[in-house]
Amino acid sequence: MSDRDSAVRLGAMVKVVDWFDDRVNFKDAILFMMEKPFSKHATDVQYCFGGISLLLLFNQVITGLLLSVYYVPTPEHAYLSIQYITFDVNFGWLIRALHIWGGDLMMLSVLIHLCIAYFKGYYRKPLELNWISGFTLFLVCLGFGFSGYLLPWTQLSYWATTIVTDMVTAIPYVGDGLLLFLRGGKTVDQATLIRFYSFHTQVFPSITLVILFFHLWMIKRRGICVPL
Amino acid sequence: MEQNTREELPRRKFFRLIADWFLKLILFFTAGGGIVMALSFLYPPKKLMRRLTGWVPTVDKSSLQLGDAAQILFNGIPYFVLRVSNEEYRSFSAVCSHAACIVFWEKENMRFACPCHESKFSIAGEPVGGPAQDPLTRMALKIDDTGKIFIKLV
Repeated sequence: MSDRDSAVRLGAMVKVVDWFDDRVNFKDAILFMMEKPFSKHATDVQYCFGGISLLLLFNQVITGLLLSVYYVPTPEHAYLSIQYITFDVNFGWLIRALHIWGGDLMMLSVLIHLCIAYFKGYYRKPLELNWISGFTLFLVCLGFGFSGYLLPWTQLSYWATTIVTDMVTAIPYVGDGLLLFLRGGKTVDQATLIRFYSFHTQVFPSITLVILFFHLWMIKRRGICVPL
Repeated sequence: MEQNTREELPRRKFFRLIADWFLKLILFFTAGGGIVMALSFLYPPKKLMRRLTGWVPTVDKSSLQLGDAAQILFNGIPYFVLRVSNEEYRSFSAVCSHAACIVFWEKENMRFACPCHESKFSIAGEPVGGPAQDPLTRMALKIDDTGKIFIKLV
């Protein structure tokens, strides 16, 4: 059975699919994508890390959406709500652990993906824009990690955020202003927590969605970069 | 027909079929388990579903000044513990007998008032104004040796 057959044979769903296809006209596009030949290099291990990062990103989105149901971004309730998720909510410990470990592993796989692209020279023409968008995604990824670290509102996350936000004062001229922008005040407090929460759950995901779409669309458009 | 069976399903193809379905099963159970876990995650935890009955601790006797009322939530329903004189404490359900709004304590007037229809209740829980006809539900109350006030939920 070829891929083409399995795409067309959707059993009882065929009528529903046909109804939509009459209107949206997507079948040709799907068949085109299924028949599009892969590069013979695509099965190489070095090309897996982009896909692994994407898979881990899906994990982060799903577990993150679930956690946002119970998490409360205020200094009084942040830590309590984390305790509530971990000890009282059904499978809360699992969802939270998946989010934490998924984040760490995603950072690792993104870093490997980036290193391979860098050392093997996959940023060369015509995929320079993939390198640029990919590196921007990496920076957003660091932002995700940094903003997410404050949210449990523990001593560790509090002081880590104090120290790391303090680092930007080393930047000449704009450093002090940037510190106020990051903290939303002079010290790490309520304003910082809600700000980081907003960045972690609204701003960064929106940026990721746009840039990631471009990043993947370019791969479909120009194909992967093969080894030299 | 008998001879052809071997031809139609060679060993390699057979194992491939088994592996294929095995992977599909794993995928199915992983996805199914994930969905069940996610739904279970969104369902209220056991701790919240437990319904309290009998004597439950509220506040310390010493934390209430004369004319103070403490509001405590049990099973999603608020209750008042009220100090009416130096040694006398009373407890009422905060649910108004008229339309089930939550009454509040007016310390300056020493009475309960309902925000919905302006019903008023005395410190004995009797209706003294507004549309309410019945008194507030009075809760049984006891104070233990350490000065902790308990009320009895039914």
